[in-house]
Amino acid sequence: VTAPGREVVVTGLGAISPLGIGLAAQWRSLVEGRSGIRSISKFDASGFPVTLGAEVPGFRPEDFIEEGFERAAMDLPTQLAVAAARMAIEDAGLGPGAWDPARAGIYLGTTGFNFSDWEAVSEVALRAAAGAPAALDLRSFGRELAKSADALRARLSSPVASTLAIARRFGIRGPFGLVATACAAGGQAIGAAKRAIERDEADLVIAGGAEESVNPVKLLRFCLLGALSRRNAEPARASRPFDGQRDGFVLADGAAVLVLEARAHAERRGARVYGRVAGYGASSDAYRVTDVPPDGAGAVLAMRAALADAGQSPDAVDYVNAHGTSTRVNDVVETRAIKQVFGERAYALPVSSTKSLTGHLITAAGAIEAVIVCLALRHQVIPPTVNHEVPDPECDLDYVPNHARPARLETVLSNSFGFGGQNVALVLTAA
Amino acid sequence: MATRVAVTGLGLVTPIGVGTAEFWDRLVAGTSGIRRIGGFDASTFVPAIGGEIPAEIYDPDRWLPDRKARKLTGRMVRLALGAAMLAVRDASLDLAALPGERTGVFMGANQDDMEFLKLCRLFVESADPADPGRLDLEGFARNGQRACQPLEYLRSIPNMAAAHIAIACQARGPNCTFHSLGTAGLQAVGEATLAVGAGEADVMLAGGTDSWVQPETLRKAASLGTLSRRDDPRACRPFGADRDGIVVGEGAGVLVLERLDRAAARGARVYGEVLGYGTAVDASDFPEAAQPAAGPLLAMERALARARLGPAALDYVHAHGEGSPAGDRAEATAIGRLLGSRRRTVPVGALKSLTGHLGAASGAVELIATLLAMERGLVPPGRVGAIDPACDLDVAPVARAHRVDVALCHAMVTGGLSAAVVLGRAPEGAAA
Repeated sequence: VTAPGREVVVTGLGAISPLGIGLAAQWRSLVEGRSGIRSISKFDASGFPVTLGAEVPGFRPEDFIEEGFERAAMDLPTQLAVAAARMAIEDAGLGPGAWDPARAGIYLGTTGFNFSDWEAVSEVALRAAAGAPAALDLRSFGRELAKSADALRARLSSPVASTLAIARRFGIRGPFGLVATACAAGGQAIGAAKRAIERDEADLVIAGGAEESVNPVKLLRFCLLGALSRRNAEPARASRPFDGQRDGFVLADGAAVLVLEARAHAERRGARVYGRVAGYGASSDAYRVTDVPPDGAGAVLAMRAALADAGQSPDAVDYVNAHGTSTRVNDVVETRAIKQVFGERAYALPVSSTKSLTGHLITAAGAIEAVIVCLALRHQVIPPTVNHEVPDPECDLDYVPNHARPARLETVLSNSFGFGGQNVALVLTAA
Repeated sequence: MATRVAVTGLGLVTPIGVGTAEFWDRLVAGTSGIRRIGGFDASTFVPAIGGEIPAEIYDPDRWLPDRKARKLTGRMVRLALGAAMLAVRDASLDLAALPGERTGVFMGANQDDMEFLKLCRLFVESADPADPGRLDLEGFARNGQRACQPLEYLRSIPNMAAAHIAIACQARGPNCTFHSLGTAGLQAVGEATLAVGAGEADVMLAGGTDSWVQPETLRKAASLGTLSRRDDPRACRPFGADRDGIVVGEGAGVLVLERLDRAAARGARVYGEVLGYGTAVDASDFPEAAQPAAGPLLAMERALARARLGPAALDYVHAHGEGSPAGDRAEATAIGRLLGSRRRTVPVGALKSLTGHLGAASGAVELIATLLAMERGLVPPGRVGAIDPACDLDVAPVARAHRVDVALCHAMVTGGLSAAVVLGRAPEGAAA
């Protein structure tokens, strides 16, 4: 049982997503059902079977990161992470010196290599091989690389680059965690941060994730997996979780950061509280790395663990922010899992997938969805699942189709599942 | 930690041995596992040495009989599966009787880099015919779909080791992968201990896996200038006067952690208890800065505080000791401050002198080495040559009898991340 002062509350939010930059932009798009998904514009994607994606419009790193913090050497995910962290810290009303660095921690979902520097790497490779692929060996590559080492520094220091950049920029010397559980990582980083506060290792934690998935290397890999929607002609209609005509998810860029605080710490400084991270649960499907069990048993375990951690019964839940990727398999299995956890009540329980609007932020998905849930709690409105047009008999719950819905929200469950059978659930409650 | 957490099984796959018996024998003898790399053509690297696990001591396909599964798994997963299954066997865990929902897996792991050069070749194949210095993305898309495996993404992501172990053990409880390079394995064990302590699981398999003996890792390390230039099985010289950099290595280590009362009830052999765990990020202090030891010291103090012990309780410290000029100096300063007047009398372990840097596996493997030292009353050697006067610690040149009741293991990423775990001797009366 957690001591009341060690309860974990959310006091600041930062979000940069395909829906826009900042909280107001996120919320406006969510309630108006305005999609952030378009044709890919960052590079020429015309050769790929998928040409749509969810990019962040108009992100200027110089708006958030001073020169001298190696802004230019940072890759896009690191820039997004630092910018979202700054937003969240300012949103929490925390100025310089507002916390004890030794009692501040950082937990981020991470993706491994970002391949954000694909252009620089490809240029080095092309120069090294001088037109003949067989001539490319480590020696020639290394020689070319030595000439352009500075441009690749950020890549070389990844995956810990964003953790170190945020820690240095904002003054954090407490505990840390870099969670690499694929699409569950953002949610799991928040869960791990919750534990660090409960255990009295930190009073304040920066938690979340950043992702750049719209780049040629990742697009290629996800195209090969066959997991992406190919509705290239209608990008805004491509992500359609739980809809009968769904055909895959949409890669997205973005970052989301939450400032989590021990309740006593937040109260002492009179902070505004969005809500509480009341429960966290994680599990593994232990089934197949390529597939999920048809009954969603692993997802059920995670949801039950999160509810138990929150000391809540399923009956307390007012809304489920689903993982809802818009793949054929995920949405059916998640629906079954929700039915197992909530029984008959599942049919009366609003379940929505905001990925219908944001696309899939992969390792940052759980983080942006936690931010969205906090905004839903604040506004007492459930964001919709857009593009819900054709019923799927196997997806027969109330998915809050197409229109935002005012509702009394006290307790919300947010799911994040990842390749490899990772399952994470968070319970967020009103203050 | 209200719930006491015991270590009841150890499994490892390292350059100096597979399984605890072989590993311990070579460790005590001071036999280096660092050799000329044979797994791929590394002749372009000078020197081309590493702690590579030779095929004659470990068959990476051993635990993956399914050919389809092999296609899907990189070397890290294959090393990790061996370590996990050895740990399960060592703990005499009956997998069929294990409560799957109460059994979890936490691993430190890295991204699988094997395909990097292949990706670069793909870039080259996809050069713009009109301008061979530029990439033609349309060609890249076309060539990539032809040349790459459909499931390549799944092969590359760090959480695959924990996923495969969970499948092999039907461990459906908490599952997490940490990706903080050199601190990841230690973190996985520390966090897993806390998960058992918090009642989230009864049994955890926790550890790390990594392979830095790969072209991409060597390339990166070479371009960062962090590699030792010596062509010598004794190239890695932790805290040594003439140390000149790290040596890449590969391996995996997995520990079985369980509630002490559960271990006692089933009469399990208890290697020791995990008493405390702490981490610190301290990016304000780069190695060249004035206070580079602050982060490591913070992590060690936090782990001790969590164990409710002071530095005076420590009989042994296992250092990260990677052999780098700046990193070792920072760490030695921190350990020296922690131990105070006892800095010359508390033995310090430095396994990397024999294995090279095992990346995300190193913390887990070094915890195992420390538990074996505790059980056997013998601290293994770690010193190569003379100790740097600026790193004035007691690193033994040969194995030495020494009773260890409380030990601390430290791991770091030079330049900002530190983690520490405190281990205690198995309580009297526990099966041994």
